[in-house]
Amino acid sequence: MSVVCSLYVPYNDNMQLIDKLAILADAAKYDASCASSGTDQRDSKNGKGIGSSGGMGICHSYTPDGRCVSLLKILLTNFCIYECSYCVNRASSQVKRARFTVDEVVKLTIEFYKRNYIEGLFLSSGIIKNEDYTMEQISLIAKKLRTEHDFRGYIHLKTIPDASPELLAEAGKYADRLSINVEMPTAQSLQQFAPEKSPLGIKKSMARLKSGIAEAKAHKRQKKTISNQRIKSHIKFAPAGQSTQMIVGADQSNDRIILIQSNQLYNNFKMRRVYYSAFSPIPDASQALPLIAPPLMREHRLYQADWLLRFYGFEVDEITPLNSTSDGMLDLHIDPKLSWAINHREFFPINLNKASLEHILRIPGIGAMSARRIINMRRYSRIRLIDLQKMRVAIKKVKPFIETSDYHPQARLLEKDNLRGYFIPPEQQQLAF
Amino acid sequence: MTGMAEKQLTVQQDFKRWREMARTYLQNAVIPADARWDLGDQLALPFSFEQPKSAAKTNKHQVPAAFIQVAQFLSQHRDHSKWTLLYQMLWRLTHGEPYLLRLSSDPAVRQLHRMNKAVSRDIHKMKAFVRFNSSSHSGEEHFHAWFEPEHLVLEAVAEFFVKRFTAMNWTVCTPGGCAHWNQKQLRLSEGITYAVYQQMTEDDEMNEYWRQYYRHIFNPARLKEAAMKSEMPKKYWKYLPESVLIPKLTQKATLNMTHMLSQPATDPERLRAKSKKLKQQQNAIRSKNQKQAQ
Repeated sequence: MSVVCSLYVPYNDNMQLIDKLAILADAAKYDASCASSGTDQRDSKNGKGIGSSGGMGICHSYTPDGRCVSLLKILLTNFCIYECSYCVNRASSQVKRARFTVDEVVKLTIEFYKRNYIEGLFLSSGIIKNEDYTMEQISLIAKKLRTEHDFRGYIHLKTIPDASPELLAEAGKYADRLSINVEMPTAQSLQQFAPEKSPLGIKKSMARLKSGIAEAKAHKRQKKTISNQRIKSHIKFAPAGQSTQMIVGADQSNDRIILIQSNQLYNNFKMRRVYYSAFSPIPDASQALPLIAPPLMREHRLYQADWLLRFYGFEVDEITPLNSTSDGMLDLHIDPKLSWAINHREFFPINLNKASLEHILRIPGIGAMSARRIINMRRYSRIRLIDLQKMRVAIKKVKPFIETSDYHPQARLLEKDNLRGYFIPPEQQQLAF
Repeated sequence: MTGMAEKQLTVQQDFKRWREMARTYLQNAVIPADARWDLGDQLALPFSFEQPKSAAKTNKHQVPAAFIQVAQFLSQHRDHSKWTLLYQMLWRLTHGEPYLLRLSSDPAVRQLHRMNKAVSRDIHKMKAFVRFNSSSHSGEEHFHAWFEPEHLVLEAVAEFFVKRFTAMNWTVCTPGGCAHWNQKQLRLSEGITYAVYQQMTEDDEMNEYWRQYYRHIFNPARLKEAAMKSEMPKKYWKYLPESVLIPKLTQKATLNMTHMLSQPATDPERLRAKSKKLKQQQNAIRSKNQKQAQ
């Protein structure tokens, strides 16, 4: 009689709901995503159903790890036949196991939502029986919420790679967002640390999601253009798109490899977001993967680099150059944009009254918002240093890199050998991360 | 909640009134320094002007639609200086600076942005941190909430909740007013004190479930107390049933992480060795994956 037997029969026991909630929230907390924004506009104004969505997401609370609590993030069950070394729920782990019934998840979601604790549900699951069975159970909850309770809040479903295309289509009908985690930056690492996961299967499923999302979007656009003829049928498929997550620091991949992977995920599968999750200590670790303190600063720098790729026109080769002394790692002490600028001083100073938006976006300390404001403003008046100050731009940071009508940087500041040192407080230069 | 004095939608009315007054001032060429707005709760013109006969004819002052929008939004700010600021801007917009709103570094524009940002933050935080307590009165479920917004945002937030919680009966009370929804109509009444509110409500058993969730979704290995406090400052904690847990979770976090790091690791073969079925199942998936990779 092994514990595993219970994996194959519906799990029925007398565990209290509140105890299951503890176990299945504990099991879900290593997923970084909490987004609830960017989906279809919906509300309950017609008096039926409950909830609304669309527009800005709302964080209803913050845990002491500084993370936003926006969705009820739980696992349907933490029983799992997979042996992913980094995962608290892997088959060999000795954590307590539990399984919600479909109705229990539905009840928790609705009751939490009514009290304004959450924006919706983020549901994932360990793999039980097989991929299709697990996916079916996850979809069933979303379906019940949407059809029986007319729930109009946000639903994010973790998609089981290798589940059948029909089941993915079903999930997309009810969910706002679908996601499949790549988990590791390379296929080799995935094979090593998650032998039951298939790099190819993951990419195939991501491609399916991409085309499902694109098809539904095209359909919606078409509907708009011929809006005077009301078309009743409409295809629904994950209007908030797909996202994924990569664990940072469990394997040996450097930041360059991670960013190349992200870039491909954005380009090939139209990901809304790639989340980076610093490998975090878990209760009952595996011998196959020793624990470390989570590399939180590294995770933070990767998010900054990710932003540069998506909104600032940078290439991976610029952020983490191939032939550099940094071994493909981001500088932990300064942000990647500043780091790039220090290594490309020939690009500066940039004249704020003349330069293009693309160039202004490259100035350290000037964000996308300020860059647009500068462009807007200079149509009517010349930009002076004091204008930047009033726009709350960090003057000390931008000073070596800009020119305004009343300010030209001292040449020696840009030519300083230790320009990097100018930005790091001396007590921090010693810090080892 | 019966017997409470009825209240009108105040913010929108105030704005309408300001707009009428501003129009009159403008038509009479009253410079911003001479315009008076500080007349208590009700905006009223301090002296009588000759009212133009037809508003349409004399309304030659064009302002960008965006200004009306931001001005309307600003009327939710608590500080009375908003009316003066708005008239100053209106004056400049109609006296040679039609592009004023684009001058991000102009002191008036900055002041407007700053004040509007405070209002939108207040709205956002109220939408986030209002907690509804369920109670049953003669078989019907009713939800109550208490919040102390910094600005006059109750109406805006109530409208948001009407769309979200249309099929619920609820009341949101603040010191400045209460909003009531009975699934059909939104009604406003005078504000109450926190003590009175507390007498109205009972503790909701779901709060215990919510606290349980909060306790377990927190990862002690990632403690970042300052980040949490900057997004959820202490002044909001009194509305949140989960906040009682924060000191203990924070205190024990480092200890929990050290404990996790010091525990012996588990053999990945532990269960495979015991269960033939699991081993077979895993092996089947692994060999399928290996074939796929080749």
